[in-house]
Formats: sequence, structure tokens, C-alpha cells
Amino acid sequence: MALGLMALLIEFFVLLLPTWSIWPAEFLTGLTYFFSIFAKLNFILPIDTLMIVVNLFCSFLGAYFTVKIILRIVNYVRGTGAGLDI
Amino acid sequence: MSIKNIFKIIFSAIAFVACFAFFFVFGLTRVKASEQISVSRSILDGSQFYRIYGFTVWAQEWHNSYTNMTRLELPVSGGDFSAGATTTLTICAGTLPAINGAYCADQGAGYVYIANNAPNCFGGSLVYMENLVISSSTYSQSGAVWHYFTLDHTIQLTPDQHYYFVIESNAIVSQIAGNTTGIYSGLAHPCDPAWGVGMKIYFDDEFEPEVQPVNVDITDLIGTSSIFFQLTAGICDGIATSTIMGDFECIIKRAIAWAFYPSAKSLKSVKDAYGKVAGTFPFSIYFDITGAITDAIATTSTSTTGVFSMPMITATGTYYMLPVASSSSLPDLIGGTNAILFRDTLSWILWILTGYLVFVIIQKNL
Repeated sequence: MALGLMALLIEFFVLLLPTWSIWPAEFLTGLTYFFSIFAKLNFILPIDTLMIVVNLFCSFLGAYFTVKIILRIVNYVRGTGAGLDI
Repeated sequence: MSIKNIFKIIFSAIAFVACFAFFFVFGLTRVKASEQISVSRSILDGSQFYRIYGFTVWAQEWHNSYTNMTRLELPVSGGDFSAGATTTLTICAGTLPAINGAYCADQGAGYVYIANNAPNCFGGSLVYMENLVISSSTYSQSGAVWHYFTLDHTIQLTPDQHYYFVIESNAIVSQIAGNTTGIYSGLAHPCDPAWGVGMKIYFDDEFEPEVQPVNVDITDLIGTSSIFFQLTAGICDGIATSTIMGDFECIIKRAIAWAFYPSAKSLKSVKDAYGKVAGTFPFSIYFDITGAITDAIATTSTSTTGVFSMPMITATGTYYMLPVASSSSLPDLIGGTNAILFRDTLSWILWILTGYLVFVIIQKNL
């Protein structure tokens, strides 16, 4: 139930936020094109490993900063703690 | 580094492990969500078809609360039944702790045993069954002949009763492997609807046999096991529940599991909410970029063969692509072993750099 309540609060939070995207679609498409071209160099450089590493790093950043923001909100609510303190 | 900082690092590491475990649970949501095949009070269109690509769908539940005309159909297709492979659908009417493969049949349950030699061998005391249609045909793929087995099984159940079903199958073998002998397990065909165990449940009225559709996210039902039931099924094992104290101990354990283990619905809600947060400003600034990169990487194919060319002009003024480097260039230059060593070394450097970056980010934000 607590988890469901948390999801409800997040959904409420989402309602307050705009759904803007500052990146032009062309830029995001360009990234995809860049990586598809870049991957062709795999025959001489370990691009496959690079992509795994970049993917892992992006996932890490996503998880890390999400956790950090959540903990900051929790710390703000309870009025103490800083950084990653819980 | 002070003792306080050391404790801080250890504590943060534990927090991170917990957080990653949390995200890992998210990863299991897809599997866990298969519990949502419980469609109590829902009416399914006959065209809606639950396709469960797996071999053991364990202790799923639905609640017949509408009429006494709830029907469960189990078409099974694919596989080599001549090799003695079997698919078993076990229907249990009972309480959850008692439901497992061994106890189910003893709980006054009925089971459907589907095999080549015994296609309609029923047991137990399930209410009754009707409209049994069994048909089979052959299916040829890449020179191999497969038995295409279809069972259309309709079961009537009593109302206001929770039922659990277990499907265990080793009959669905790999179409890709092309091997028609032996008994296989664990192979699934997520892209081919002709191979798998499908299940549809729908309700109709005894006097007005109309079928009303309900929207069900079929993708959520793709899963091979129920994590929750696996975790809680044996929760009272070893406890003498025949005694009052034993029963009390079991109740406490089940209550704790109920209170602290989030439901599939809650996990899915959090996961959905997380996705919505990622799509809102200012979070989208970051997540749009990382999403584009990860999607690009996921859809990009890498190959270890290829030629790098550059445009060149001839004396007559026409252009052509001049091969500059190919997959054999480096081995030709430094030798095959050294080329592999070179590539592996670069890979390791990338991994070390990534590890260092992760370490620095964590250190800076402590």
C-alpha cells in the first residue's frame, strides 16, 4: 500500500510539471544516426564495448541521480540530513 | 579519511545496493505482473488470448465471482508429443499455502493431463468439464515435421471461489533448433504466436451468453513464473500448523509477507510513475538525452568486419571510394594476436575509465 501511495504522490507531482522537451527531434534523431555510423568503426576499434559501457554509465546516472533527488526530497521533508544521508 | 567518512561510505554503499535491488525488483515487475491474469469480475472477449511463453506458470489465480459459467480454455500448440513430452494444467480450488505441484491434486483439485498417449486423462474432483475439443495436425518447418497440437478445453467452475492454475510443459520445443526428439525445457518463442501455451479466460451469462470485452495489457501477462507465489508458497514449511502456536506462527509470517511485499499493481504503478517523471520538465532534459543514446545503442548493430573508405577522384574527374582500412588491416600490420590484444586492451581501458567515473561521481556527491 505504501508503494502504491508513493506512486500516487509521484503521479500528482507529475501533474504539476510541464511536459516540455527542450531537445529538438532532429538532434535526438541525429544522435541515433551518429551512433549507427560510429558503430561501423567496430571492425577496428572496440565500439561494441564502448556502447555497452556508455549504456551502463547512462543507466547508472539515471538510477543514481533519481535516488539522489528522492533522498533530497525525503531529507527535506524530515528536516535533516544532506546529500545521500537517509 | 576520518572514521566518520568511512562509515559514511559504507552506509552509502549499502544504500546503493538497496536502491539497485529496488530497481532490480522493477526488472521483475514484468514477470510478477503475470499474476494479473487473475481477471475477477472481468469479461474477456473470446479474441483476447493470454499467451504465456513459458514452461511453468505457477499458481496463478482468478476468482470466479460473476456466474457459475466461468470458463477456462487452454489451447496448447507446438512441440513433439510423440517423444512423451507433456503439458499439465492443474486447477486447484483451495487456499494459497496449500497450492503447489505436490499438494494440488490432493486438495480436491482436478487436473488436465495432456500428452500424446493420454490426451484427455482427468483426475481429481473439479466441478465438471464440457465441450472438450482436441485436434491435432502436423506442421512442417525446415524439413522437420512437427505435431501441431491444439486443445480447446472448457471448464465450468463454481462461483465465489478462488482458483489457481499451474501449467507445466516440456512439450514446447525449439522450433529454431529443429530437433524433434527428446524432452526440452525452458525454451520460449516470444516472437512466434504459434509456439507457446496460450490461455484465455472469459465469463458469460448462463441465460444470455453474451461476451463483453475488457482491456487487458497482454504484454504484462507474458511471464513464466510468479515471483510472489514462489516466495510465499513455502513460507509455512516446517511449521506444525496443526498446533495452535504453529498456526499462529504461520499467520504472523503470512501477515508480514502480505504487509511488506508490494503487490504487482503497486510495483507497476511506481514503474509507470517513474516513466512519467522522466518525461516531465526539467527531468526530460536529462532523460531525453540518455533515452536517445540508449535507444540508439540498442538498435545499432556492430560488426567486426567492414571497410573504411574515403572518396577519391580519378584523373578523368570521376569519384570513387578508396578503401583505406579493413578488418584485416590491423592484423596485417601488427599480427593477429597483437590485434586481439590491442582490442582487448582498449576494452579494458574503457571499463576502467567507466569504473573510475562512477567512483568519482559517488565520491563527489557523498
